[in-house]
Amino acid sequence: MSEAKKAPEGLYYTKEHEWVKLEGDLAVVGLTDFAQDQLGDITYVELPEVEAEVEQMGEMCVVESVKTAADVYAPLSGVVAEVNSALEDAPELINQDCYGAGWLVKLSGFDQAELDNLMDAAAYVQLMAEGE
Amino acid sequence: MGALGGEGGTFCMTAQTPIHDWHASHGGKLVDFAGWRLPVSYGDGVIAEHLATRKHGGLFDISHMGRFSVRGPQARAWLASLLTNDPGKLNPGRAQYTLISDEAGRPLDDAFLYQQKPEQYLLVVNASNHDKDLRWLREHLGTGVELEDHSARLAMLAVQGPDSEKLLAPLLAGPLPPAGRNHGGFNRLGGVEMYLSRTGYTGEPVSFELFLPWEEAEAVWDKLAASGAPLGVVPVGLGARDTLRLEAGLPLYGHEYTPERPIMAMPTAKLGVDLNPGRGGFLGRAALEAQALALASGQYEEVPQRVFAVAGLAKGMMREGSEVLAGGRPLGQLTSGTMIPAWQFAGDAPGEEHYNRPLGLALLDSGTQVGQEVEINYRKRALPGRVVKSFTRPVGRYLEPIQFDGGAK
Repeated sequence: MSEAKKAPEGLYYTKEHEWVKLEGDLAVVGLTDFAQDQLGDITYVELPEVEAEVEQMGEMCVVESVKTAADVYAPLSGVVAEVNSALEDAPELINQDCYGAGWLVKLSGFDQAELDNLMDAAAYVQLMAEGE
Repeated sequence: MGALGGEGGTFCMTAQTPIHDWHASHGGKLVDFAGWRLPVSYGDGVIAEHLATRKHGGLFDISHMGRFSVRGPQARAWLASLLTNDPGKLNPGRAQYTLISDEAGRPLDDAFLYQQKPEQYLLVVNASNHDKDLRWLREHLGTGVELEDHSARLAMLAVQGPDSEKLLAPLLAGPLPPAGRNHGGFNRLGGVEMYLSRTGYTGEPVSFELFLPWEEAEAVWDKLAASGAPLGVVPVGLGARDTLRLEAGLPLYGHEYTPERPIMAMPTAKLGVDLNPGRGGFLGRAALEAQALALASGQYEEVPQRVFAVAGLAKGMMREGSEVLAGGRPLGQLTSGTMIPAWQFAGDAPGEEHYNRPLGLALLDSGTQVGQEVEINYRKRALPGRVVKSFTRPVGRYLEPIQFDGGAK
């Protein structure tokens, strides 16, 4: 697998394997390729309510796979502006396209300063390499 | 993201089926299961494999299961003394569900018995119980019986689902076995001698299992995969094998059956236990009669809890171990449970839309009634659910998901 698929450039990463992409006023959040690979086949996503407030590294939603359940943490504090409702009937989108159609939520009203607590692609890839 | 896996790390010797290299080179995500290296799924994942099996068909490598050959003039009488079902009901070319009971009516294993010839049977057992079962059978061996372990000599494949006949018929030298569950016969595919049986573990109305020489299995599998692809019949891993059996309400040893639990606590045991007076004695009979009487009389001391099907009625999750309550009163807990995909039917056949729903099997107080509304506790949530008779019904050559009032879709 290419490095680009593992962790695309231009995104921000948490050590808990969430990614963030800035889209205007919104921060799109998803799980990294490492995370989806570790989880295996994903069968259910418990998405948050729209307008729910989340805190940086607080619990945001739950992803269930054949193997296990995993809490997903909010990479930034903010308000849930949108959830990916396609995941309700097709949670496997996270396995198939974790940086695209498999996104989880979009956050609004976040604090730009909190981005400093996140990693860039190179730092995230290095963290993965150290963990292996 | 938190609470990731953590089952890696230990390395131990695992056995490989004759299809192992094919699985590895065709996107199979290999895991260790009951001492075997097997695919949990292939590239498209568990959900796609489950749905493909229900709509078209699935191919399963089940060579990890235990296969014991039982032959000889006393084969039938000996099997009748050790198995809960009556092999006397079989003829060559028939099979039956059965169990191996201990004296106390607790299961050593559940199994399938295939009669191939007048004095020749094949007993198929769970991979995880292979050693224990073989030891037990050898300890109880009688005269006039030849017991051999053919687990590494015979491979076992399954073709399950509505288009299985369409896939198999043109490839076979002989005719398909007569229509009807559990019928079978010897056949040939691509020059390979095999035993073909209308049996399986998916609940599919049209289903087959193939027994064939270990060395020939990969070539036959490859042929089935190549001919199946244009029909939408796909290879299926252990993940969907589990969701398919669960949706069909079929038990899995170690979950619904355990060494401590009465056999009759699993409702499908009735299909594999024959207590007719003319059947004669067999190991565990007295205990099983006491269990059956307890369930029939409503005096549940022998079987205080039994297995029920529990459907979730809202979006949410359930898993093995989840507590089941009725109005806050604990009834028991799940022995299996997960999110299961289902086709939206258009008339009598699967349509284009599918959805997911949480389903489980649960060990609940024996007095529980079908229709009981329940709550299923999973993590921090209480999911509304209902005790139901079954999750599916056969409609022609399809297995249709039953939709429950108040359920999601």
